Amino acid sequence: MSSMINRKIIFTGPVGAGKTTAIAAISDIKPVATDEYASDMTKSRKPQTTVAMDYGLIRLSENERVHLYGTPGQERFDFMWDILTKGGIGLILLLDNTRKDPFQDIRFYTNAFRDFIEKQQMVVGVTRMDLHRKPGLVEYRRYLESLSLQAPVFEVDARSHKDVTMLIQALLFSLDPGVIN
Amino acid sequence: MLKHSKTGPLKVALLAISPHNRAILEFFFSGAGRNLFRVVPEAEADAFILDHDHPDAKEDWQQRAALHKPGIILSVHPAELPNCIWIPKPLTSRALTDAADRVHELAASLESESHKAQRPLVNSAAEVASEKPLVQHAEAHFRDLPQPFGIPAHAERSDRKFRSLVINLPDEEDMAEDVPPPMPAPVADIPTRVFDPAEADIPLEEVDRPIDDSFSQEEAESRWKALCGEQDDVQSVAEVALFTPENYLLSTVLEAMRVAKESQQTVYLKLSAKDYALLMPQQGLAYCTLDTRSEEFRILCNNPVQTGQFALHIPNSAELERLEQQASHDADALLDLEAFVWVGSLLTARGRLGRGVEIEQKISLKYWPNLTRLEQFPHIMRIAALWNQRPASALDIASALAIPQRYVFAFHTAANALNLFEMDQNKLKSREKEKPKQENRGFFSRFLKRLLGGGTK
Repeated sequence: MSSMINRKIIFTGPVGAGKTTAIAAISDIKPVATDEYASDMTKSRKPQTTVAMDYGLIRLSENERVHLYGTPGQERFDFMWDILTKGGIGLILLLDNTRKDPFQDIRFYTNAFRDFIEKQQMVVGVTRMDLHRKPGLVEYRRYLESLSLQAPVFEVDARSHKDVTMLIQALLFSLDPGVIN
Repeated sequence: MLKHSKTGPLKVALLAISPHNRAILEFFFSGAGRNLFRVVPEAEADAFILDHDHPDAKEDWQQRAALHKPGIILSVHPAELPNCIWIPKPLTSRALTDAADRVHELAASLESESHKAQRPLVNSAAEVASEKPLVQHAEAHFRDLPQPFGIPAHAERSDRKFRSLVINLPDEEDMAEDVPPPMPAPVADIPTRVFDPAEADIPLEEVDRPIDDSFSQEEAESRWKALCGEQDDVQSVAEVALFTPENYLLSTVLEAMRVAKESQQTVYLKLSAKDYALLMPQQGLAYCTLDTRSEEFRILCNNPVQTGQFALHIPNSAELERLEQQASHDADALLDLEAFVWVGSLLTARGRLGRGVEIEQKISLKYWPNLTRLEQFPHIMRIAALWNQRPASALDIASALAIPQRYVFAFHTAANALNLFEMDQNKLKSREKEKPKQENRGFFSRFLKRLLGGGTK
């Protein structure tokens, strides 16, 4: 029997950008909030605390799985992300266009995940552009360029399976354009 | 895991800290930082950690100032307190690691000084000076961080009042009378392991995902022919099919786009006696009275232009108000501004290159098109990815991906209309990326098939 192949995709971004929703849009399972499960599992034992993450899963076959992790948005601790990104395929950065300064969010998250982005790949999805058109994608592209980052930037609806799938496609093809789909 | 501290783990007590922050600190202490920090009851602690942004922080610290123990202050805003080291939020493992060493030194210094002084210690000038680089570093870090929710960028530093409270502490004897002895903090629950659902046997609720069949394969293929033509591949540059943009609606659309962007005003583009488009750069939207998927729009783009057929102008305020009102009542006809130019370019070019394009010139995709809002055609992602990765001519891209040339030509024309290519030959070299690893190709391929296959598992 062949061994299990497990890969990860990390969804990050500020609170409200749609990480949980995006995971739900493509996951084979209803997303799991890890803090809830950790509490449930340890009710009868010594209380245990954990960092809240969202978790989803895509099963490719009996032996292949892609795990989807959503980082906590409000508390940003890069040491946890270092652990989280180990074995990761790439990073999906979701930005909320209604936030006061989404560029500051870009700067923060790309700094925090810089090593991972350089080693793997990042794709940016901008949510809520239907509510707030500014800044536009042109500004996002230029801002990323000013940070010496090359990444696809798409407008997305985090609820849309198609949009989230496109983000992942862009991630995979950026890592290897030779992939045949 | 992080290095061992020179003097063993720093024994710390967590004071006023929100449950969430506490959980995250404990996460660090139990993992990467377990050789640097150990959470102990307050009576055994060598140092305190408190969250300066927590409502009880001031009181907690005030109560413990007389103990002459160093503190680590976590706060969003810079905070300077005697005998304390400030770590800006959001925390980093590096900042916590640095803090552990500094607090060891500070604790030793405080211990020796506490025998000499009866009053609470305030940092000497030398100590303050020695902390300056850290403060400056932290301030630089702080400037780079997003503001937390509910704290405006111009918010006054909350540490100022706090500082005056600490400096004006009464004598130790007075404190002993007025302030009740500190209550031991509850022992923190240190997690024994990181909870990872991927490794846990927890119930997972399956989700049924219906297959998206809004377009049949026949409909999709028909549209791809309209967008990318049906030309066979050619063997030489001389055989590449070309079109003259000036002969088509496309040139007027591009001119309208240029005017709109430069003026940052809405531009009216007359398409026929009754149909028109509005290009709205402020909103990044276009409004077209013709459905861009309609046969009528396709013909309009395909057919050579007649003199005076199309026209553009910037509407005056009265006209603009009327037009915008109409557009707002017909929201389905609104589309992304780039999507309008994209589809117009594709329908015009139909898999051909514009006359004047240097076919053999290597270029690179500077910015990815907004593919979630643009019309798709086969291999579009692969073309974008490869062209983004390395400078190449259109023929090189088609050859490298082993795909029909018409799709690459179509992409070239549309992306060029949106100014997404880097043409400057001097800048191309710096854009070249490392050759991608192919070790995951099989896995990625299966993943893509699974994603695009909808509900099949």
